[in-house]
Amino acid sequence: MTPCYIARVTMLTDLGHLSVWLALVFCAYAAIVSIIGASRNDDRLVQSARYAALLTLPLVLIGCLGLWYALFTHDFGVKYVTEVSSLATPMIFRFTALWGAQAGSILFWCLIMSLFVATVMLRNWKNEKALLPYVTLASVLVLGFFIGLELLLANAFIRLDFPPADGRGLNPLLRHPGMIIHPPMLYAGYTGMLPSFAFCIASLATRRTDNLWLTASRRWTLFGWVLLTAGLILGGRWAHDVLGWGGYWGWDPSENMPFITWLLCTAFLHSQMIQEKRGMFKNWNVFLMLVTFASMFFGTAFIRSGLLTSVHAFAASNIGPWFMGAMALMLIGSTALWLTRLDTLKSENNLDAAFSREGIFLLQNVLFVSTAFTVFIGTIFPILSEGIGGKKITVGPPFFDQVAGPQMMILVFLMGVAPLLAWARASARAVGRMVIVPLLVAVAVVGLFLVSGRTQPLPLFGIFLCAYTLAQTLLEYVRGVQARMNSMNENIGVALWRLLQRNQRRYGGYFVHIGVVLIAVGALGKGFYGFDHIRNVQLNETFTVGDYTFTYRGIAPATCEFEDCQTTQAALLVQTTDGRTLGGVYPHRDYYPIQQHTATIADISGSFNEEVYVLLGGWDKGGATASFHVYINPFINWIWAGGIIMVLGFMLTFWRFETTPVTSTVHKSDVVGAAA
Amino acid sequence: MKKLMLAALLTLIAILALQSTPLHAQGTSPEIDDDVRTVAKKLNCPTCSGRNLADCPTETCLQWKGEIRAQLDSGKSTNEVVTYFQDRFGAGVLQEPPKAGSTLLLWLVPIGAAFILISSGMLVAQRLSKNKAATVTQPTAPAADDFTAQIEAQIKDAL
Repeated sequence: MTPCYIARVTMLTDLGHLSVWLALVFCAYAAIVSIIGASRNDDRLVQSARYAALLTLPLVLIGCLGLWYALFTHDFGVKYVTEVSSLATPMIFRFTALWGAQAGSILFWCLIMSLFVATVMLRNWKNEKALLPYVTLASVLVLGFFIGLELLLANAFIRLDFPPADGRGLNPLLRHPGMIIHPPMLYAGYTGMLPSFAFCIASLATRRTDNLWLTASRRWTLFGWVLLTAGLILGGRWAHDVLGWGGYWGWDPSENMPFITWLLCTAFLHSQMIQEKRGMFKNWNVFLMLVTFASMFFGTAFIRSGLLTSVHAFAASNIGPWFMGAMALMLIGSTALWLTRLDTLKSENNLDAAFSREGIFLLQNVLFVSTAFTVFIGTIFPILSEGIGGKKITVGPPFFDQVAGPQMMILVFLMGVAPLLAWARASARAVGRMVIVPLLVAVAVVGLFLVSGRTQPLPLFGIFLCAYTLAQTLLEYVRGVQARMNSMNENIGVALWRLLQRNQRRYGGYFVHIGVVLIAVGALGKGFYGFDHIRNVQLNETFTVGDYTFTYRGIAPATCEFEDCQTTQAALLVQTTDGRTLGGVYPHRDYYPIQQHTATIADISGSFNEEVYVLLGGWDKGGATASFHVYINPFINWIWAGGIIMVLGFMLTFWRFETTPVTSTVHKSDVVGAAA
Repeated sequence: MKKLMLAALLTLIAILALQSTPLHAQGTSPEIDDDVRTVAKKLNCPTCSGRNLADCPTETCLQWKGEIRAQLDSGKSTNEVVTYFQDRFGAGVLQEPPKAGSTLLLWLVPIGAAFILISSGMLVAQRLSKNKAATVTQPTAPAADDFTAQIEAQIKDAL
């Protein structure tokens, strides 16, 4: 390396560092000026704050580019670069290494958050001008906190006095396509809650009594929600492919925390419809928004601060206490603001009957919150028990399955009931007639399961609820299409298209429901009907697991996809017990000498409805004997399909098909924003 | 001094023995079979935070699994082996915290919270419906667009 080259590398990375500092200054400026602008009613100041907030995006981006530059040019003078990359790290993973460890991922988090802030600032503020200074204030305060955290406590730009010749390389577990997109998705989902929170705070601050904050932030919330959804599903897929345990969801704190936010956000997306339609639940919506946002803060703090490992690690961590402090401040501040505005949030309507869409929404909301609370308690219990009793009690999946599982099953069932109930008051007779067909379908499905020998009552009950809800949801489309075909004389394709186009929130929402049901079926299938066996076999020996036979054909070294690992691969022939050949499977083990890490990577066979997941456990005598771990995972693929359908449903809801502009005033939105 | 040296030597040997040799170079561990897994699935591994012993591939966990095998070989049932581990390491070693003692709270709190939330939801619903007569603002009819109304009418006709 020539001195000139080193100087150039150093300069660009340090320029990035400086740029992030500037972003922090801009945040501070925007916060102060927006509040002065609001109090003096000076539009120029408000606009100035808005532009300052907007500029944080390019500034943080320059910071990230600086770090990327260091990663791409192997600048091992930067401590972070040595932690997450090495000379052997391929290009793509030098790119993703930006979020491969704590310091970089907070910077990346700031980038995504500033992207949201800038996009909010760029929107047309004609209708919501009064909210602008407070939205700016809330946004830059939160963004500024994270930038401050990066610069003062985590700093990815720190330089080493004596740069090593090579780095440690990226954690082998993180070298999976799912890991390339899963963290950015989750971060974006998390930070995507910021605009809605900022609108909520602004609405409280300006004493608005209408639904302006909801209509203005609805698309942000939806966007954040879909990113969280996709992030969670991709995380499950990553765990399934890389961790070598046949599962997809382990109720691990790093999954639970975003899931809690997802549950609360989903509750909010539903309850806001009631405020938009009926002017009710205004306080509840504010509450939900505040806890959703707080859960984002808490979840990040929990995962990032070492609280996960133990209370002691948390106390020793430099960012943990700051996180908790900031969250406490945010919660106290926003709750105080909310309490002084209770008088403005009176309900415009009353509940006419419990047996109505509103009634069932209330029940569903309560269940979402209690499920989130269950997951929360189970996740923090180890820390609580360690803090109070001195002994850490681990809470494994059985607790979550037994306590949160039933609540989630009721939620699945409610998805099949709520659409039938009319707003205000529903007629039991009308509803009774509409459930007959789906109930018959559900009985038939349960019959099929019984015939196939699956007789356990508990999962059968779950399958019954899923089948009922799925049939009911599909029938909603059928009813809508039929009505259009009859009244408008349209053919089936046109009728379906127009139905979606004219009621996209409603039918997009049902699409999401279908995805949720598929995921529930997948979870039931894997949880109750899945099993696994370990078999130690000789070369060319055949063994049976479930309805499949496996013949062990040998073991050999293979080429690893990465330079810094050694792969050993086994080959097995997979057939069904009735002799039909399904193909070969090649499970392998990758050993990474630098990290002293072994990854056990499965190979998959079987069918869409039943996955056969084969792991290479170990081998002896050069492969004369080997041990295999076979998982039979019924319906697990339904989870991935359900995830895709949920995202498609979001698109149906989010895409603007309508030609009529969505108005933001209360009464008009009641009419236009027809949604279920 | 001799004792000290012996202790140092033993410690060194122990450290060397515990040094994890790369797993890929190891052969199969025939003692880890389905029975061992049945027990291991109910226990936590001390080195894999949050994951059960059966799914954790670390060296320490392999030793624990060996211990389970030995216990099973000595004629203990799977439940007895689980109890053995619980007696030795406390309730913290169990994947599913017992529904008794101090961990009973873990089970009761969320169920209690769900119960309280649902009943207060019902109370709110009741109060909201009762207040109906006293309200000034009239409940507006559920607004729906023409098309939805049309569909509702169609559905009514069809039934």
